[in-house]
Amino acid sequence: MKKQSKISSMQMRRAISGYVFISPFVIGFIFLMLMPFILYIFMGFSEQTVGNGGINFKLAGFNNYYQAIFEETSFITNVFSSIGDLLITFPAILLYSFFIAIILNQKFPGRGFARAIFFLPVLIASGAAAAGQDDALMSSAVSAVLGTSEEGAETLNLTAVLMDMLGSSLDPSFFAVIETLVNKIYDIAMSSGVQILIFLAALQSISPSLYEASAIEGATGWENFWKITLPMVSPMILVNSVYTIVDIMGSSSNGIVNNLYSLAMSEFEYGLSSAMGTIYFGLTIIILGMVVLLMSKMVYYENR
Amino acid sequence: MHSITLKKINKRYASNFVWNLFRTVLIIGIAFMILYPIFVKFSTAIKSPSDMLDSTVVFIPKDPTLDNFNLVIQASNYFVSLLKSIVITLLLSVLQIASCTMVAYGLARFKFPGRTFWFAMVIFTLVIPTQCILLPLYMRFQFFNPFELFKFWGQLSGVALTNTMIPFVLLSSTACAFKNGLYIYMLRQYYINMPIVLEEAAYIDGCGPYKTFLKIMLPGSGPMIITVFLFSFVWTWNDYYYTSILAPELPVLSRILMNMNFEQLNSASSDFNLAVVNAPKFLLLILPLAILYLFTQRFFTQSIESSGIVG
Repeated sequence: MKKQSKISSMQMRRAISGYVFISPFVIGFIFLMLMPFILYIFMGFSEQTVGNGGINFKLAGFNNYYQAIFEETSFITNVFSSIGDLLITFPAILLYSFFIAIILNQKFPGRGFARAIFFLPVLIASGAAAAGQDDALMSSAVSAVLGTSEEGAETLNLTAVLMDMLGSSLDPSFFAVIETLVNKIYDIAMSSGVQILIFLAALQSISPSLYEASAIEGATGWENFWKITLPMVSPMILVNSVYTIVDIMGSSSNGIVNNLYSLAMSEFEYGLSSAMGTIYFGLTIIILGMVVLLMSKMVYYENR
Repeated sequence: MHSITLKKINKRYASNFVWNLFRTVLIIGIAFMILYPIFVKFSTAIKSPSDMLDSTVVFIPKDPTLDNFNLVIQASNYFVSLLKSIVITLLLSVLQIASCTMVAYGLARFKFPGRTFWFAMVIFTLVIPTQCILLPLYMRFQFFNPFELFKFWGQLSGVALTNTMIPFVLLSSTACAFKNGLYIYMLRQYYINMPIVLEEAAYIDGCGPYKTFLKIMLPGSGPMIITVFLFSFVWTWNDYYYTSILAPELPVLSRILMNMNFEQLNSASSDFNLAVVNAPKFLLLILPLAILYLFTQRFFTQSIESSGIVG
């Protein structure tokens, strides 16, 4: 006797298999991610005392938040300067990695070698390796260019040169942005490894027949770029944006992150650290949400 | 008409040439910027103390020595720690790959209610910063007491699981380790783009979904798995945050080298120069990664071409 149900048993079996496949993640997520996260937010609202059964928390309302925002000397200014930093670095990384991916996609001798070198930063710029580096070398080279170093008679003053070339009627904040970018070139190159990979994969998945068809129609390279390359790559621009924002805001080269860390680990101010952390990362998520919403409108999906 | 075509061709060649020149200069420039610090570290590492004081020596030491390396190797018990680190990292990497491929396949090919929700949660794990959950995670493992089970054993505060491998094993086998969300995303894209006819053929031949996964999907995603393996090995190897909080005494090379302090160095040799020690530390840490990179890099750049990780 067959049971009549709206969902076929085959579909149900498939669905159950699906659940089985993702079950490790479900278990891990609930216990190792979600619960600690909830605990973390909870810690932001409480004061801790260390007892022998562990650490005991006592709800203390918004005290920690009040302390973080109004009493901590540099927290809020640090947050805003980090966000400002993000707004400059994030488009720079996207543009840089996109440009490099286009270059690495072309055929030229030594391409494999070049790809290997450009991806090297992923090996050396994460975790322990990054902590052990001193980029005093690079920053001294950079400051020599900008003219901010104390020693050295023959240094080039970038701001002055640019002002000469472009006329000093331009807004000085424009030069500040350029100076920040030049300062950060090393950081930008070092944090773009994964993004270059993703863009490169995207570029290689564009079927050449599209370009052939446009060549028949007589399109120029410029038109090719705007009408074919950019739309086909746009989903990956979204992916890279999310990854880059999270990477920048959470990276250990960020003063705030280290501050949070030392507050919690060395000074045992768990409550305060959690409150500051929640504020900071809450802001990150808001920015992320805005960026995703904006970009989703502009992304071109071919098969969806 | 002849001269117009000729002019056009010449113009083409000229602009091609300019672009090639620009590209070569750019690539050499950036490659230099990336390789320069490594090169400097290497040259610092082989300098002897007399070279450090000699102001005419900039990059090429007059008296190259391997003493600095020896010092660091002895102080960190390098070869033993190296072996242990490799074993640990390999184990965690394999666990991560196993769990991530499973989860990615489930999300890619099976329709079930909540499918989008769980994919969003995967992305959410990428967005939650490590720092946020590290501390509660530490407390959870320090007083590990799921469902208050340990009450039965009379231990109210749970068992301390820090300093063991267990936290990491748990994290890795549930696809919740460092940046696993990224791997799941990439693998899912890959599986979505695999031709469905392969699976259909498998079903016709009588494979259930699990067998299909093991026999067809896994072997077919070789290049992608190598890519994910490279990522996960490098990031687990270099990881400093998770290991120093959750297992400060585990013999992991990244922590040992980075935390090497004065006494350890002093016990190895009484005559050393603190300034040069950073360079060999860094190089010794990176060396295994560089070797791994050399071998897998071919698959890796190839895999980009055949991976289809984009829609």
